[in-house]
Amino acid sequence: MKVATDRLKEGARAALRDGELRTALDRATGVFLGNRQAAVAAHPGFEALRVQAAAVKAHLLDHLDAYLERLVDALEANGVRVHFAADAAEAQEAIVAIARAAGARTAVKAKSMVAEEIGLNEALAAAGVTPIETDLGEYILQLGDDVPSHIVGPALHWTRERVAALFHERLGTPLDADPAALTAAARRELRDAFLRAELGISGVNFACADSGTLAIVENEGNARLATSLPRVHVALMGLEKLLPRLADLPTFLALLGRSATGQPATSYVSLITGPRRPDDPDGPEEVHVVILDGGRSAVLADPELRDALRCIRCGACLNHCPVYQQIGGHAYGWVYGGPIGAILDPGLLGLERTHELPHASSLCGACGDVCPVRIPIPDLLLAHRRRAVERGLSPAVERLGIGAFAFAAERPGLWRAATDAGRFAAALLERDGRVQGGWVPVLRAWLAERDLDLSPGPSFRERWRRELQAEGRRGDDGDEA
Amino acid sequence: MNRASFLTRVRHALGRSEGDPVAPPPPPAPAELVAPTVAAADPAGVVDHFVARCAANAVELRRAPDVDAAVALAGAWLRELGASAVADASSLAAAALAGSGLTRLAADAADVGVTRAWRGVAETGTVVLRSEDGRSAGLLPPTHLALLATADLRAGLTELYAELAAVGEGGLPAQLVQVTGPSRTADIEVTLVTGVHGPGRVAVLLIG
Repeated sequence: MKVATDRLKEGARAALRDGELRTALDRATGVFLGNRQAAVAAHPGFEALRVQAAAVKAHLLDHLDAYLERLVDALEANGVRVHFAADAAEAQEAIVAIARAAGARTAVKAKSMVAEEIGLNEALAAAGVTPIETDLGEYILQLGDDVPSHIVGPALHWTRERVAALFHERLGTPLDADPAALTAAARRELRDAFLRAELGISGVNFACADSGTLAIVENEGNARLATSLPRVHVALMGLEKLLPRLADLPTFLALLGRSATGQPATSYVSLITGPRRPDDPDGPEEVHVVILDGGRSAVLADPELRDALRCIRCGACLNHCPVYQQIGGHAYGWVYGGPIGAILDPGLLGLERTHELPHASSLCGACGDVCPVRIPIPDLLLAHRRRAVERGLSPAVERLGIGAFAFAAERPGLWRAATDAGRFAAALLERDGRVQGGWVPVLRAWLAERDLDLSPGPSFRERWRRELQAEGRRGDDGDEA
Repeated sequence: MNRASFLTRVRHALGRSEGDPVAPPPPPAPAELVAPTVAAADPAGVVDHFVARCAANAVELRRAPDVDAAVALAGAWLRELGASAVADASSLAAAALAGSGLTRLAADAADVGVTRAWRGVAETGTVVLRSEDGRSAGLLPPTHLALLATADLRAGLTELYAELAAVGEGGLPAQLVQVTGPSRTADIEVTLVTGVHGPGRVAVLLIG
């Protein structure tokens, strides 16, 4: 996927002006939030499961080399062919080679974030293989020439009217078709593709190192079809998507469904342990796994950032983020948006192109509170912000402003003088109850993306002084007893 | 990239060397943490829980006291569910289909697919299908009827996975699928629609 992570502000501005997008986001994130809350409330052990999952993933990442080795041995013992990709280009190359060897003309694809990450569709098309997205949301986006905006609901930024108009034009459904009729049309269209495709491509939710079992979690059934009907199945995974044991799956399945969509169990979980056996009536003859590094080993090497790789892609941090709720996923400029994108993208793509993303946060902490594997997302946002400053990537105006703030904040007399002057100046610049940046250089830049209400009464320091004076104590800037 | 250099890169990233020991992982979560509302020690409670979860998942459920009654009931139920049917490779499903007298069609043309369920999970109202019984019958038709023996019902996922782990290397089927209710999507304006790619109607016949 094309990287546009350095265009956050433009993306956010465009999103904020898009009324249709705001309505769609509001509706979707509201439903996700309510469903998750109800499911979590109904499960008394949920917090303990989060602690368990965090401990298992932390252990896994700390010993990932050994677990990868175990997984690969187990996969190969099960008859699965394993391919290793250092980067997107190598992953594309491996899958194109598999497609060619399979004589594939079409490939049916179940949802895979890694496939988006490496731009797989473009690579397949260039090699003469037609990729067909089969997740309903992804199918809509492919028909509509758009890209996903959410990990779980890729097309949640589309209104039903827009989908109906697209399907009317492309599939001949009535213009006023409802979601059920639109879904039925997609089922008919895609069923045919499933029956004729030579290659099925899927992601992986969890790869169990002990048994070499791939767990694929879904609701639609397209992943079951894509991994069952075509002669060849390729599963694409990031190198961090392991669990030490099959016996860890119940914990992660219980967390993933509830965190993502509020489901105690999703409709389907496929557990794939190799290609079809000689006596099986059906199933793929070949199963391949492509394991992608793609910058992950660099994140792994960084103890401060390693926790970001615990992510199980549930999307809860997106749904709960007040910034994501307003701007949606596209503004972040890459496949992973929202709070997890803001901490993962700088690790995978480098801070130079992504240092704005960790600022797309009010640091309210909701992302960390809901994360099923307890990734300390707010801490990681701050770590990236700090590194951006240390490396001189933050804007000069911001550094100047923060420097002046720090200088004044360490000097009580100066602080008082500055805040008094500031309050006076703010009163002069006030219009409609809000402070306007006007012509003042640093202030104008600061206020371009922020609202500052005119302070309604005396400052905290003034009130504090008055309270102390009323109690007969000193009320100046000296140290209080 | 080849295996050795790929793994070496990960190993170096962690500051580890080849053959470095792996501390034991935290023990898996106890069953009561994953499924606090159902206990394996109470078989009647397990069945009740399964029945209640099926209802919550919009899964139709009927019960038969034994296999003979189940085959007769399944035949009649299949006739209610459609005009043509397909069975998986299990003898139980084949008997049910034979008893129904319905037209047999290929899985992508039949109205109903009847399958045996290898296991059931009460905690979530799930049936588990096994690839040696075939994958298409429970997947392609718009309606799926699963035949599940109460003896194959497990309290929670923890018990199911303990069993799978015990099967050990090479013993697991090529594919197991946990089926929990109908195929669902909410990709258009988070409006729930059933039957997008898999069966939109799921029925379970509980035997015993």
